[in-house]
Amino acid sequence: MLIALAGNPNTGKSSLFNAITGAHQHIGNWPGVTVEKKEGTITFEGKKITIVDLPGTYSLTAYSLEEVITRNFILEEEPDVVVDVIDATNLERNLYLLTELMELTDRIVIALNMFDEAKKKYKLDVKKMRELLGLPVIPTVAIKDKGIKDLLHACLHGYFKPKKLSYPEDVENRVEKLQRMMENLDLKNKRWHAIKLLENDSEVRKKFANLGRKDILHEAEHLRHEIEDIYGDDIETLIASFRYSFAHGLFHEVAEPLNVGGVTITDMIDHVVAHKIFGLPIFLVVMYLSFEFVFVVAAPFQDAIDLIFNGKTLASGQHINGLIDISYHWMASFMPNWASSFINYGMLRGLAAVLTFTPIIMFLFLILSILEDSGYLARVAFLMDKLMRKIGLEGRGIISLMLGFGCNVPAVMSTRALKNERERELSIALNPLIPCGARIQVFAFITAIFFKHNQALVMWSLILLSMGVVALLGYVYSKTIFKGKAEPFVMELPPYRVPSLKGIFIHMWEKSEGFLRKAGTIIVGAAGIIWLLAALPWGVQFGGENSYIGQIAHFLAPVGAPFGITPESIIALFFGFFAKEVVIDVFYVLYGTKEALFAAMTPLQAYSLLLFILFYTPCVATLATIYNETKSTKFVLFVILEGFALALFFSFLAYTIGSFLGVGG
Amino acid sequence: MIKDVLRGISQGKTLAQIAEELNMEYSALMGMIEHLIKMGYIIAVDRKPQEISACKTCPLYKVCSKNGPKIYYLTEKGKRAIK
Repeated sequence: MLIALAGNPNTGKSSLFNAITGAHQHIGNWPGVTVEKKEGTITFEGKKITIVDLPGTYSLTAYSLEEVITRNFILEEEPDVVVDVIDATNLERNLYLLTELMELTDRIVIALNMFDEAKKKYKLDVKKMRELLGLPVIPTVAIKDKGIKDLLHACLHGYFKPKKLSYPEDVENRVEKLQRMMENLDLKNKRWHAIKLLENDSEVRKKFANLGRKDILHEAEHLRHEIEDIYGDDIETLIASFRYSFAHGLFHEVAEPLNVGGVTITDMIDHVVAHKIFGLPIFLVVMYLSFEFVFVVAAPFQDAIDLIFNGKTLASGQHINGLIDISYHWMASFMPNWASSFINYGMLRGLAAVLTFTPIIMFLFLILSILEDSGYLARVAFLMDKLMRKIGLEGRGIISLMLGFGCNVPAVMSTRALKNERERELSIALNPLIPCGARIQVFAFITAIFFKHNQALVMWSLILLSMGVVALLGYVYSKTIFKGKAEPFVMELPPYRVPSLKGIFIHMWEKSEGFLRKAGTIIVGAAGIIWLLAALPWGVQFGGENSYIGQIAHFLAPVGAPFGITPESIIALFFGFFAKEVVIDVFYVLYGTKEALFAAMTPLQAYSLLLFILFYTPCVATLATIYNETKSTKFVLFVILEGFALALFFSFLAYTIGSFLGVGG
Repeated sequence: MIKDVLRGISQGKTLAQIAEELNMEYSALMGMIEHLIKMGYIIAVDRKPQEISACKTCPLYKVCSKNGPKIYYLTEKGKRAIK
């Protein structure tokens, strides 16, 4: 006796095979291919039985090797019984394959595997399923060896009187017509062949071509067109739809979900956080609270690190030296002053700048990890899509914009996945306006110093503004320079889950490590260069107006004046062109302490600077990537000009209105 | 049913919404989606391997999530099917 095990992947088919055959199995390959073939032999109730484990498949089309192997084996080898191993916890999905197996053979035994788990999900009426299908249905739990004997018993003595899956009369008539044409052919299961010919199955067409029966192929094509004309659908969709409807109907006849209305916790949360009206305001509140949390929790850690490196000036005016000053004086005792200054006020101060802001970065990534691991960030992408659709921007471009919050470089690269050139260009043009992780770090640095009582609000306003500008420009661009129709799409949202503590910390560390690693190379290196510019030519006051950096600042002063941007800030912006994080270092090296920086600018000037950083030219790596992706110097220039125009506009607007109203001055 | 799913996608509904409206199990819908991909009605877009390797050159590679949501599009064949 020959029994074949068929089923979807991950239904416990292999466990069932092992439970039946034990150690009596042989593993090889299917002839001519590298797909694994497992075979075993047992004796049950005195009968020798060979069991063949067929490859796991979801359907029996000719699209994959596994499917072709499975259907050819059943068709040609004609096993005495085919056991359809069904994952009873995903019953509806698994029933589609059953509809196809029922067209191949009458002798099917259904193993409702993982039945113990399925009972927690549905009330399953096994008896009704048997009656409706006319086939043996046996509950099993393969990993616990449950139901195995019943299954084998059903294979030997089962009652097989399957109900046929019938198609509408217009289809059935044509299936019969084709079957009649095959009467003289030595073919097994002519009905199956007729259905497959109507479905335009490539393998079956090849078979008939090899048999030299072009007449049948022509007739099948003719009949196929007739059916398609009657139903206004292509035949493949039509036949698959009937099978799905059968599976759907059968599922609802035999399974009753135990959770009322099939509503899961994920559904309940999504009804609130992914709501079409409340979803976006909830996201804005979540974002605001996240920033608030980050600044409040990180502040004591930042203060402690700052105290260690930079010391503190007491109310009495007395200054307590920090590590940098102590180290400078100590080194100056055995090396030239300039060398000690370079090491301590250049390199060490650069390192201190990085370390002082590490707590903010770590807590920011902690929050992001929680939001991401819980499944909420995927909903944000969904919410943004809903918003963007309304303004004419949609499709995969949204995903690349979301990636921009991490880094604009891979975000621009990800637009390669866009098949629509218009969407691709639109997405690249908008991408640099999304504040990347590096810009967000700079925002965190400046807001922490200048907006002690409104840090979260300031951060929130910047992100909100960038999203608003992207939405508005997206709308304008899609109606003007990047005109065209966008691609609709659907997004698979993962279920919500409570993130594990270990997972969150690993995630947070991985992300923070990226920042620290970069700090150890580019940022500290940049700090050295800035120190040199501040110290040279020899003998001038460090960072004074005669130093190189002072001269550059003097030259640039008129440029930033209308926007309230100080010459030192312009230097910082210039270095930010190479990597945005360097802005932090420039400020630290030029001003020495947070207090000195705070004294150099008003909050209004700081806000104007933040707006400038939000939009002005993306870093050199992003521009190079844009050039690589577009091969257009004009496009790169467009992106630079777009950024500067927006930066100048918003900085000027904020500074002028603020000055006029006397706010933050 | 297939057309209802294709229409849902063209209208920008979530898979959960489509499954709910069709009174279908989510896993069954995912099975149908896989089938429709094979039939050429839908394409699934994941971050492609070449993009991931390009990502590795980015200093913020580790900051960026490599597990974004998977998205599905209608192909021309899919669009024709619901016209």
